[in-house]
Amino acid sequence: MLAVVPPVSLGAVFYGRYLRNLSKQTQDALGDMTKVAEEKLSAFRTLTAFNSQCVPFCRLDLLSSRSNVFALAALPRPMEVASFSQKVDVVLNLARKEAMASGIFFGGTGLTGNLTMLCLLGYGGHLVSLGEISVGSLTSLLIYTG
Amino acid sequence: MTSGIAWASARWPTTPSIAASSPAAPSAILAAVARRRLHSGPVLRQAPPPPASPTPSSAPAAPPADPVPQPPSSSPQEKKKLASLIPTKETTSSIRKLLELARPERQTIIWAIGLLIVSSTISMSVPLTIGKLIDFFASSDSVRALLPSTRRTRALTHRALCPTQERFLGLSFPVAAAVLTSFFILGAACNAARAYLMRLSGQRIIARVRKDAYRNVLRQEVEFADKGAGDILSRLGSDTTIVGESVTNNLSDGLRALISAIVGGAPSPCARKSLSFTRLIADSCFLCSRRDGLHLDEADDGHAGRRPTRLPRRRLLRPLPA
Repeated sequence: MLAVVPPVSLGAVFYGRYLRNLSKQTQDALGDMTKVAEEKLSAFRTLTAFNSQCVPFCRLDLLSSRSNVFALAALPRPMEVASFSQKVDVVLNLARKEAMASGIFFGGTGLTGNLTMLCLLGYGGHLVSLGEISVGSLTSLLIYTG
Repeated sequence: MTSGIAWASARWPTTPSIAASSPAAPSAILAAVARRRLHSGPVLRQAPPPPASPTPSSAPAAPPADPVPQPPSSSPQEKKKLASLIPTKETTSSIRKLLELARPERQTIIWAIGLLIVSSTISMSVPLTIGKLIDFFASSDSVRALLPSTRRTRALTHRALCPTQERFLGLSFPVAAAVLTSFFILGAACNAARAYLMRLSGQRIIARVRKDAYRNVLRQEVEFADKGAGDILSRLGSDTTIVGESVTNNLSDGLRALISAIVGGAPSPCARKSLSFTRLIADSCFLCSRRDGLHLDEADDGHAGRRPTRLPRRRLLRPLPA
C-alpha cells in the first residue's frame, strides 16, 4: 500500500512547483494591473483634461433614448479602458491555467485515495477470509487510511 | 438634458458591480454621486439648465425659451428609474446582487453543478460500497469461525449457508472491483471538471467586475477619483476576488455539504435511525459553518483597517498578495 506514496508525493512536488511559478506570475500580473489603474487614477485630472477616459462626447447623441443604450457597446473602446482590460485578461489567463492544474491535481488525489482504499479492502478482505486478521482490524486499518 | 440623463442612467446598471463587493461604504459613495448627478445633471459636460444660458449640445432638444428646466416627459420616470437603480440595503439583498453578477456565467455554473451532483453521488456511494464489502468478507468469515475449519467443510458450508454472498452486488469480486474503479475514475473526472469550471467562471466574473468597475470609475467626476484612489484600487484588486469566489467556490462547497447532509441524513437501509440522526446533526453543523462566506452584506469597510470587520479572517487573508 505504501507503493502509492512515491507517485503521489512526486505529483505533489511537481504540482507545487508549477503552482509556485504560476502564482508568482499571477502576482506580477496583478501588480501590473494595479500599476496601470493607479497610474491612471492618480493622474485623473490629466486624463479628464484630455477627455480620454470615456465615450467621446460627440457620440452621445446616439444615446438620447433608452433603446440606444446598446449603442454604447458599439462605440470605440476608450484607450484607457482597453489598456486596463488587457492586464485583466492576462490575470484571467493565468487563473485559467491555475484552475486547470488544481482541478487535475485534486481529481487525481481523490482518485488515488479511493483506489488505494479499494485495493486495501480487497487485500484486507482476502486476509479476513483466510482468518489472518479480524473484521475489526480491517475496519480500523481503513479508518487510518481514510 | 435628455441625452445626459439617459447616459447617466445607462451607466448605473453596472455600478452595483462596485457596490456589491462591500455594500456599506462604496454604495454610499456611489449613491451620493448618483444623487448629486440627479439634482444638478452632468456637471462637466453640459451647461446648467437655467434659462439664461443656451446649451450648445442639447439645443435642438430643449429650446432656450422653455421655462421648464427639464423636459417634463422624461424627468419623473427617469428619476424614479435612477432611484431604483441605486443599490440600497432594503430593496436588494446582497445575495441577489451576487447572483446578478453571476448571470453571464450561468451556463458554466449549471454545468458545474451537474458535475458536482454526479461526483458527490459517487463519493457518497464510497462508504456504502465499503460497508457492503466488509459485510461480504465478514459474513464468510463469521460462518467459517463457527465451524471446524478443514478445507473441505469450509467450502461446503460456505456454499450451503451463504449462496448469495459468494457474489458481491451480483458480480464476482474482480468484476465488481473493475466496475468500482471505473466509477471512481468517472467521479474523479467529474470532480476535476467541476473544480475547473467553478474556478474558471469565478475568475471570469472577477475579470468582468474589474473591467466594469474600472470603466465606471473613469466616467466619474474628478473629485471622485481624487478622494479615494487607494480605495478604488483596493476594490479592483481584492474585493472583486471575494465577490467572484463567493458566487462560485463557496456556492459549490455549500452545495457539496448540502448533498452530503441529505444523503447522510436520509434513512438508508443499512443504517439505523439514531445513527443517521447523529450524522444529520453533524452535517448541519458543517453546513452552517460553510455559510459564513456568503455573509458579505454584513461586512463593512474592513480593508482599510479603520473599523472592525465581521468577515471571517480567512476570507480577508486569501486575496491579499503574499
